[in-house]
Amino acid sequence: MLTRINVGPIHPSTHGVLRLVVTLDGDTIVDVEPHIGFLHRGVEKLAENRMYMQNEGYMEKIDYVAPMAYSDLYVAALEEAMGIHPSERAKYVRLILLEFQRIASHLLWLGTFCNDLGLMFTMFTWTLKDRDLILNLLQDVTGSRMFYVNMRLGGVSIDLPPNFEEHANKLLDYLEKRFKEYEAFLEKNPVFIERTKGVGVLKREDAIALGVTGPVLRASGVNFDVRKDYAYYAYEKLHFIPQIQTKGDSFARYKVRMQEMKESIKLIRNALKLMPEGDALGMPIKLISPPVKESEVIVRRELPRGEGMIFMVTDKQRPYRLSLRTPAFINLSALKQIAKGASYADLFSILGSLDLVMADVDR
Amino acid sequence: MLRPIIETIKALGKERFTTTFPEEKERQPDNYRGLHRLDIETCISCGACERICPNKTITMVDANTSKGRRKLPQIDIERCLFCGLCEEVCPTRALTLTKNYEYTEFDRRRFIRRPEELR
Amino acid sequence: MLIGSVEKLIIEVIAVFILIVFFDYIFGWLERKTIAKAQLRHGPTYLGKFGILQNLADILKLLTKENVIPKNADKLIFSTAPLLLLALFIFLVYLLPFPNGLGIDISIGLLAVFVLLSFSPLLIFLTGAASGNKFSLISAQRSVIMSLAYEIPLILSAAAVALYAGSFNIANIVYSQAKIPFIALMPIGFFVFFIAMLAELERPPFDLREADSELIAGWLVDVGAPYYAMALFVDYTRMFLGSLLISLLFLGGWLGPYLPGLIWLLIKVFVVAVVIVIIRATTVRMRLDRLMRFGWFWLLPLAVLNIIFTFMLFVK
Repeated sequence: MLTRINVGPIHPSTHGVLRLVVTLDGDTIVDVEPHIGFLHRGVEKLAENRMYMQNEGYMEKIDYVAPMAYSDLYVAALEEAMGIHPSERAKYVRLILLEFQRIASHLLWLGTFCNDLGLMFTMFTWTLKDRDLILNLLQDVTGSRMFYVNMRLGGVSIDLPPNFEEHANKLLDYLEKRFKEYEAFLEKNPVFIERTKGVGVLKREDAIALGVTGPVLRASGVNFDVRKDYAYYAYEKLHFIPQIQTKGDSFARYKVRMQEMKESIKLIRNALKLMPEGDALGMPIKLISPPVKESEVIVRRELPRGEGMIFMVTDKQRPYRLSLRTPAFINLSALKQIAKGASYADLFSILGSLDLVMADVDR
Repeated sequence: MLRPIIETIKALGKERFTTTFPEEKERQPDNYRGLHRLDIETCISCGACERICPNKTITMVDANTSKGRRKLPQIDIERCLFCGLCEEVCPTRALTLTKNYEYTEFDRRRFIRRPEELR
Repeated sequence: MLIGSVEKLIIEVIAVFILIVFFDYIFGWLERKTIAKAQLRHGPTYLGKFGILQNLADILKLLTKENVIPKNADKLIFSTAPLLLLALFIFLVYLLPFPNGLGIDISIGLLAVFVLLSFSPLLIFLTGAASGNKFSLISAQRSVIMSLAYEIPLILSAAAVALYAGSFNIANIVYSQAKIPFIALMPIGFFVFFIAMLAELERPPFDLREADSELIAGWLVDVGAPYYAMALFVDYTRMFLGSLLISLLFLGGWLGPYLPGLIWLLIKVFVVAVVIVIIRATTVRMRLDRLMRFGWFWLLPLAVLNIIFTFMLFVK
């Protein structure tokens, strides 16, 4: 006998407003249907009526966990349309800030994932403490803890302060120690292992066919990372290695993100050593910015959740059309395939491991 | 199963990371983007802040100054994104963002701050 | 002045009741502060010094709210089953012996405790089923299934203790630990009893019944505010009962040098309670079928092995 349960828009698994209509046969899931759109704010339409640099504040609010990544995506598209290249130092500065943002986003994911599994906030408060230390470091650079609005054409708005390198290195040493403790806390916990191993398997062919990207794809054994295949800023010089697992279950997705955090630490250390001197400041905000010739640009970046793409049709002072491909929207569409045949309690383990942010899904 | 319990017991010995808010406050950097501050004598009423604001937060209203009756910016704090574009575009640096972030009110109408109140 | 036996009974009843209320209140405060410290934050700090009046404020607030009974609910069962549950657990604490003459001393104390303890899943199921709500029904079913699996190892390991001590009278069991407490004699039995007790108390990792992030609050989704306060009380009284059983059966009860018996008993009860709270802060919730598998395939054989060893090594 099939029962339908409504996992309503408001529920304590902290992903945001997502409504799932789950059809159960006893305890096994037969069908999952997500209903989205509760957080749709019309960012793409709002952007058509604003001038270029006024849009940066809106783009950041698409992903409130890692805002600088979207801001960078937008400004990079604008730079490509205008033909501006950021200076060498600006590339390194942007890379360092973006990798810190990636670590912060994965830390928040780790906390809410353990929350979904039933840990009742212990891991959540520990990882939020570490994320808070990173946000304090970014606050010293940009002036705000979230919604930085610090990307400008050709660079950043404020350069790194003089003692940034030693603060960053101290923070990175502390984070390395903490990651070892987190791994011991979770991987030696037999209940966590049996809750995530073998749960929600996504096979390699299905992953490619569904179009998922990011850690979900890399956990199924596909070697695709925008930082390697379509390299931008300074990733080729820093010897970046994408992290792959082959099993495709929730534990593999967790492991990929842990490895990615460690890889980000290595990248930041290398970048701090290799960063050249110079000027990283971009163009300041002017009331009438230089006119842009009409063109169409496509830019891709590796956001913490997957691959993000922006397609912009430019006009003289404001974008004519802006279209975004957000990773969480596509990852959510894979939920139906992954969750077929799983038991009901596994649904939250799978949902947590996909790393959804609803503002990313709904824009 | 023993290792995670040891981790929890180690955490019992660490010091607390949260602050009891009204009594202790966190430290802020110098370029923190908080509430606005308008220097009435320096403002030249150019209206650049009104035009650059993404969210139509700033409106120029009539106000009495020592140089007569001119238009000065009025800010609706509920709509403000605190992005800092108005501070960056102001030609005389009359509008700056301070470190103040505590602006709770009981009445929603108090959130529209007239230029005299932006001190 | 000679105190007659009826007055003595009344004094004993009131004394044990005060002890239960004291423990529940202090334990509620201790749990919140310990979990907060393990999570690197302050717990309640505002009311009273160290936030000790916080629980009182919460219970008073809950008691003054309106009691809402949903339309689909069965009014009689819904209103009375939680009260019966509370009465059951308080009565069970009375069956356990306390030092200095408090408490009842009956010769089948252990059996009576376990027989009455097995009523509790039934009452929880009645409350959940009488709510008329799909989620409460699911969680009530889960609690009955879980208690089926975990009562047998619980009773078997308690039986091993009774086998060694030679009687079902709990006071005798405590006195036969005068030389060496049972935790050292039968460590496997202690392990089985501890874990089965955690499942019986429905504390993490076995807290399926109130799976916060899955079914929001399980059987308590639709109860009104005064009943929610009572459910908190039930939870803490059950913790008191479980910790008392563990310390009486395995840790030596009220025996110990220098201090009066009651103080030793309270110290042991608090140590057990703190260990349970730390386990709550550490583990992840188990899935239902894994839980059943763990109970049937691991705990039951270990409990049987424990009885066999105890019989062969100590009772001859």
